[in-house]
Amino acid sequence: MDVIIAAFLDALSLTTFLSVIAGVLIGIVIGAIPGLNAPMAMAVAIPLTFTMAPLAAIGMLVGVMKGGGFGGAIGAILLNTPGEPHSAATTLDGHPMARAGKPRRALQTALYSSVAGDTCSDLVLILLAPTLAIYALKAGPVELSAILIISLTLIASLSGRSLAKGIFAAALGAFLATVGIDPETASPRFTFGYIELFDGLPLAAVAIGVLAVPEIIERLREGRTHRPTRDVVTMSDGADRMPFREWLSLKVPVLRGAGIGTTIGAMPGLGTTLAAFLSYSATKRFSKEPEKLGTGAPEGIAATESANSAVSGANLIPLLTLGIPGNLTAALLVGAFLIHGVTPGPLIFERDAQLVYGLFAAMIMANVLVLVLGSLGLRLFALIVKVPPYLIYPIVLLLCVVGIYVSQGGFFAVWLMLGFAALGWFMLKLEISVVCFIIGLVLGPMIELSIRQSVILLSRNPMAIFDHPFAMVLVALTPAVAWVLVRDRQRLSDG
Amino acid sequence: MSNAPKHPAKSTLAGFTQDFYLGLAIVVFGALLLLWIIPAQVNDAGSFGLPPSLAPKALAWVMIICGAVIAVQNLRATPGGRDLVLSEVVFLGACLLAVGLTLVIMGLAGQAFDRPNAGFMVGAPLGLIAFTFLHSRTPVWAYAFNAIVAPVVIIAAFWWGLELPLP
Repeated sequence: MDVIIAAFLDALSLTTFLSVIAGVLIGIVIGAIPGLNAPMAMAVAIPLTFTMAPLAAIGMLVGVMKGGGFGGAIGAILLNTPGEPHSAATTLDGHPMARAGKPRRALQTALYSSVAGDTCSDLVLILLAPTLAIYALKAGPVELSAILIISLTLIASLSGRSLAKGIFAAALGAFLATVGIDPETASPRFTFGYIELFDGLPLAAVAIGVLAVPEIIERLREGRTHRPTRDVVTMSDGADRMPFREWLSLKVPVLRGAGIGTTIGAMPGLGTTLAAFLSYSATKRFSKEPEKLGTGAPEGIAATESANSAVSGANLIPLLTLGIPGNLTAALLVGAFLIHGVTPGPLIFERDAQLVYGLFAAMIMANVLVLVLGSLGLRLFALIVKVPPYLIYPIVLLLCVVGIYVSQGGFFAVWLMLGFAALGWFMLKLEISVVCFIIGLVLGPMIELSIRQSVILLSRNPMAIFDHPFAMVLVALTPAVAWVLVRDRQRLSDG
Repeated sequence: MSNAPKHPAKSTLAGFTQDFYLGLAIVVFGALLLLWIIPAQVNDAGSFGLPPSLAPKALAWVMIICGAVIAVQNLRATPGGRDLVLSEVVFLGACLLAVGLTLVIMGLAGQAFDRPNAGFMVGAPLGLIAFTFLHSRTPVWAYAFNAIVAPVVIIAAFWWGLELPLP
């Protein structure tokens, strides 16, 4: 109990509070810029956290994650341009409502629903994670290896159109994670004589390189090749507000969305897009007036925003209990944990309990701040979508360079970032999943360690896996799960 | 009911699809890792348990298998993905060149002036002008804004605000 009280006091300290505010603002602003999204905002913000205390740093990134979730809705509603695939579901009703002269009402519905979904999922995380971690502690390296393999296969099966490309991306990421000093023999691997690589590839440089820079380059190219038609809705001072009492009448789609988002978020790889569209479909199915959805109905916005925001909190359940990031933002959060010397996984509740409970408090604080700052600055944030792209993208590109320089203290990492930008651009064009690549990179050391330990435990005898029935079932299920998922997706794309 | 594919079949060089060549490239990359890079960069001598090259070699094999599967899957039909366009690759090269030159200028100016932020003050405006030019259709005032206001704000935020040294 003392730890929990101390953790909450840590979270309420001025430094953490200001960091979370900064994170929320960065998340909303970058999330609202067309083409940019919450994972990119996190990648850009990671270098800023290097000199911070662990809780302030992770609190800031959590703020970016939550702020970015709402920021994405601004572009989707006012500009009809989703920054992330899941925001496409928000455009279905958000943009028609905005075009009907109710942009503020649409944005407020999105804001309240997003915060409600996020809070529900955070509460589930706070209640479940410590208990699940106790069970996770009972899993040995063999079980952990099996869980990691099935999780990575699940993520690869669901990312992109080709399972082989997804597995290749994850393998490439895991391969690059072997750069640096080997943890067992302390001999350097793939350092090519560069002392800067002894600690491995800097995650911030790789993440910004493959995530943010290729997207900025594409946006710059769009400006040169064609002028995008910007269907921008202007927010006026009209009386198109969404009174809180009226929003409460949307509690059923909001709670349903939160439930769907939390369930999907707790499973690695399924992601926000599936949650948003499932919630939208469910709302349409149970609606008394389904024909209104798609024409600017607040139920549609509430359902999608609560579902996609609920994914972010629930994604931390596998992260904190097993150390497995379920999506890109969670993978970047793992990177931030590692940078600050904290290893996510079941032991985190024993070794860094104060930090974890502080993180829980920071998450709730971030939700409140998204609501307050989002409400107060709604008009201001709505103006972001009007800033011309020739002002935004060159400056964001320079910020990527500066961020990596200051975080690594030299140009080496910036050159690495440039190399990974080229790799990320080709991955984007060749439809190779960047999500799988980053998750493979983050999970690589953990997979290698647990497989090495498993091989030693099993005395190099594959038949010894029969002594580990849970792991055996998971390993046996892995190809079957991948086959079912790939087959179902093939059917969906064919039909 | 027609059995025709949903997306029109596309072919590139010598009648094969882009993903076929991607698969071959991945196989070649995996083979290079196995035969050249891993033996040259990982020293297995003196390891007591499992050799340090075990994971890289296993992952290289996974990549070779994936590459082979991608090549075989795309031997005939294509799933209708977008092909790479030369002009897009050239634009990527131009962007990377602009960033690279900005880094070189920052480094040289930083060494030449040997003062805090000197490299940034010289390199950032030039870099921003180049990045803005890459976007095209940009009014002159935007060049001025990006070259003057943006670097000043960044210096204020990083140097004075966060006390982090710039190039």
